[in-house]
Amino acid sequence: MVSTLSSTKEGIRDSLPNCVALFFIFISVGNLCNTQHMSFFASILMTLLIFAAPLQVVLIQSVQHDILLSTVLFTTLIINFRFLIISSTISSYFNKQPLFIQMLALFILSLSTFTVAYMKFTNDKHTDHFYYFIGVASATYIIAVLSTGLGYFITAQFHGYYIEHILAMIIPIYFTVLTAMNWPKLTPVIATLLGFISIPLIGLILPDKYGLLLGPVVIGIVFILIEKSALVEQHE
Amino acid sequence: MNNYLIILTAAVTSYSLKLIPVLFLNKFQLSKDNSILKFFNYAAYAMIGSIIYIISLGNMNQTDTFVINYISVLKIFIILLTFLISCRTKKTLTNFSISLMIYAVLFYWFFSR
Repeated sequence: MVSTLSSTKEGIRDSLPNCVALFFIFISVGNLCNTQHMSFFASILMTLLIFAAPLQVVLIQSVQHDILLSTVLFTTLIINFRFLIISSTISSYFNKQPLFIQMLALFILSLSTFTVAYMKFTNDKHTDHFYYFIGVASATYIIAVLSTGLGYFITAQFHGYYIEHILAMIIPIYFTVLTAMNWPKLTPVIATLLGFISIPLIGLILPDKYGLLLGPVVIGIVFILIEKSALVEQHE
Repeated sequence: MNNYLIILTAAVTSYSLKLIPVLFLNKFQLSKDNSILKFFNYAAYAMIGSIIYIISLGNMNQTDTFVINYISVLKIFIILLTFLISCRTKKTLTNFSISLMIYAVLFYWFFSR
């Protein structure tokens, strides 16, 4: 029987590449919070409660504007809908734990945590799955919160033209890398590209804040319609 | 709208999405061919693309979303380069570090000296 402590330590160890990546990403998040004039406390709280970089980035960009509650809800649903799927997958490995403990653990679930844990669960039957997950998730969570604070602090202390431009490109570069991971599957890449160009195109007609919601919704619907008509053609 | 209300709404919605499977979905299965699932999947990819544009090139405080200048050209170049490198070698951290370093060096060379 594998000890829970050794599984937790293994989780922490395997999470290190993720921790490095999240370190940079959340420094950038902290930087964004500062440049958009959020308070230090609000910035930390955001990572503490949400712990999802894409959603946080969208929310930070929107705090200056009069954003409707329904927009926040809908944006969260779109960006974080995948949590529904990864949560159901990962929690199937937690069956031995009481429901309340599972619910607590899922609070610190994130996409990168899921990837590491799921890879382990499908390849190695000898770890205690739950405690491995706890190891991976808590390490990345703590790093994310600390990095948010650090990024905020760096921006406050060093008003550098150079630093700000470099920090600002961390998230775009990292998300581009993640997009390319889907290659050679074309549909995710094309959807991402369409999302990219939809912002300036929609921006020609509508105020900026609509582009962020309108683009993805329209692109999603178009893809579904194309898929359905392709299926219909196949049957004929 | 108050910042804290935004954070709380997003946090509660997000956490609910994580909890629904353990609380309810044991009762019924999610089919992978579900159109709603696929819609959210595609919309999420498009959202990521939008985020990439907004943070690198756009500025939500301006009405002018077309800021064509040399810095924008460099950023687009770096994004393309990152994509091409990452398609060939699938190592997330390595690709990210290389691209960031190239960007840092080029930006310094052209715009910061």
